[in-house]
Amino acid sequence: MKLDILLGYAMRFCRFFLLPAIALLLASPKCVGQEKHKIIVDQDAAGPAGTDQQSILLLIQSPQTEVLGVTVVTGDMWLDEELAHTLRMLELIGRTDIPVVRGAENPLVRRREETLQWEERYGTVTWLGAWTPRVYHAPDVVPALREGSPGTKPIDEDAAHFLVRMVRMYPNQITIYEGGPMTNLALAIAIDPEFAPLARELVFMGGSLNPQTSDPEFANSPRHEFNLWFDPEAAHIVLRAKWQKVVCTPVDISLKTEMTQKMIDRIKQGTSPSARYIGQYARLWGKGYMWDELAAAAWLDPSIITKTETRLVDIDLDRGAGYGNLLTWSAEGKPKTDVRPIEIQDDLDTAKLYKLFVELLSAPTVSTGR
Amino acid sequence: MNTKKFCLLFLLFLVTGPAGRSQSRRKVIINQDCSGPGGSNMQTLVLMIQSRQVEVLGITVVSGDQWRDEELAHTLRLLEIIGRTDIPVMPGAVFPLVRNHEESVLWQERYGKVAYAGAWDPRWWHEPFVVPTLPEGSPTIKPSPEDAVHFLIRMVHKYPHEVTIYEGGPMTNLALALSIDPQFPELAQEVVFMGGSLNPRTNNPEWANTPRHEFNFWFDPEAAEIVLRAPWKKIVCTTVDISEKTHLTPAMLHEIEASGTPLARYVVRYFPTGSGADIMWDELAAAAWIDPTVITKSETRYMGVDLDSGAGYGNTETWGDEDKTKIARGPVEIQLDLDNDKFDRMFVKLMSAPTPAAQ
Repeated sequence: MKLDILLGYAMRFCRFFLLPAIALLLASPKCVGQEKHKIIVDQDAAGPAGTDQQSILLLIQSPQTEVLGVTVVTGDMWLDEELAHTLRMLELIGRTDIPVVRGAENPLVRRREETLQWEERYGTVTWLGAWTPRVYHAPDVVPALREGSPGTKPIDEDAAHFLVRMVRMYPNQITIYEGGPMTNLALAIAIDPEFAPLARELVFMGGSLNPQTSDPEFANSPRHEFNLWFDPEAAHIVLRAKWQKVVCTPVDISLKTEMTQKMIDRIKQGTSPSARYIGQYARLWGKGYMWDELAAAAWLDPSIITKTETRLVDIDLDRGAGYGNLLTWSAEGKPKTDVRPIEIQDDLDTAKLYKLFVELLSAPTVSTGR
Repeated sequence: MNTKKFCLLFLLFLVTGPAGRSQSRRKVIINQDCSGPGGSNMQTLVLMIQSRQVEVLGITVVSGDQWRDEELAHTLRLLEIIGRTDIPVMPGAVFPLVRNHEESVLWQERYGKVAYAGAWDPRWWHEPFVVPTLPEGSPTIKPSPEDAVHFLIRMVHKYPHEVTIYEGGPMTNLALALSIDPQFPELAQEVVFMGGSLNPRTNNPEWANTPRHEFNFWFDPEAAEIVLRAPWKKIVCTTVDISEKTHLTPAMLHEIEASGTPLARYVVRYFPTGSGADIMWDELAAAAWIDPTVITKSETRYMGVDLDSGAGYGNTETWGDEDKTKIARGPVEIQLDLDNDKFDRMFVKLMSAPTPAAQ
């Protein structure tokens, strides 16, 4: 009898304390005793692979982060198609524990028909995302996915309410990563004015200052950038909100990056689910700019960025030629309106970025962060 | 349909008819910039609640005539006074989507002062989250923990094609609901709103020089434009033009007072003073929805809001079939004239009646 009781205690001890402790040690040897950084990834999650999915992957693959959810928004593709690509990517890497959340299907004010009229008057825009004529289809159409259709579904909550609920659950702890149009964030701010100040910071890819390039997308319109242009009112709402900190990866610095076939080939050598996903679906797109990956990587390792500056920013909301352009000021030229300062990345250590990119995308899937 | 089937259906109607009628009260969500105490906004809430044909699913509050938190307090207190604390009150947007106070001040320096700026008006300005002492007393009940936008979306999904959205203030909450859920407009039965101005016959300085300016649109122009071009099944609009023809007279107030109910005492005691305070802006939109025969003339036009940030920012735009824009919009039924006598009698009757109990 006595031995039985003793054994019972021992087994209970094992079950409740020892085994979980061992599991934790094995799962994340680096992270014991250290909080992971909480982040919500808001993304116009086109796929398969490509800059949108690759930035999501970088953030998920890092052992330092806990991705609380991926909130999706129309941008590079329509919402429904992006949701499918994101769900499928998470299935393929074995992270279906991360909630995928349905966001806005349309920008707040801008509409495709109006934009086509605007182009007749002011000139053609190189990249219109989901509205680009050569790839256009209706919003509710999801073309066959090269990587296969997902069996999982988005959670039963909309992105704006998910964002608000999370920052209220973990005040001052959550980084909001934005790699697409800012519609979801603007909706969260409009619903809850405390949303922005309760987040730890906002990190986003967007805006263009004065990129040194002959790329026709920017050579004639240096202040035009797709994410902010696609939903100018949302960008204005977000940039005016009272964040504790805002970090911006503009076109200027993104153009200094290039994903090469060599990098894809190196990742391909890996056997992890992520390496297989990248190996199979990553393609060199145009000049291979690593738009959103840079914003994600610079947040994971700030030493990738070698030069930054602070400027006051807003968005041109007049419906003329400059609709959706980035406006910037230095402190001396500040208008009377409540424009706010953001940190803008100017230059980087490309070797460091590429190394981190290859390492994280080759690495085994990080076990669930909870 | 053969005779037998018809008889069966008729019998069924006779059996379920009377019971069914009380169950099929018309469902409405009131979205309102609920300034108070008394006045057009509060009287509109009451008009809907007092009607036995109407089931008020909830009141969603938005900044406009006052700031949201102050309006929430006035609304909750009103519901306490009339004994209808069962009706949920939801906090909505505190700020318009794009326009803000600071920029509207600069805009007025450049383009001229607006006659009325609601919560931003310098005559009674205070900070957004301050709730000044309420003359009618502070409420003890609280708003719902659910936000207005979530409530609006949840209700149209719960009762598809049954819920009328009544809008008496800036359209921020509705714009948010349909931005989050593109199905929102088609799932609602209709939207009925007070807003916009066409060509009012008036020498009131608020419109004499700016006939296309109206506060609800002006306060959140982007929201109004988002709502007006959404695919609603039906939109009915009460503009400044027709609202200006309505007046809550001292005689009507006396009649209401004579009923002696807590509501009547509230309406009379807190009836606002000052020029234009007697215009029944939002009450007309509500009354015309309850009894469409109040309206004697209406016409259909297409409607939008000027979003250019210049002098016309927030102005009402309208088009007819001949000159409409290339991009399609849904038609808006605009009320032009009313049976004043019918409207006044309906208002006095509902304000004097005992408040229907919660069901």
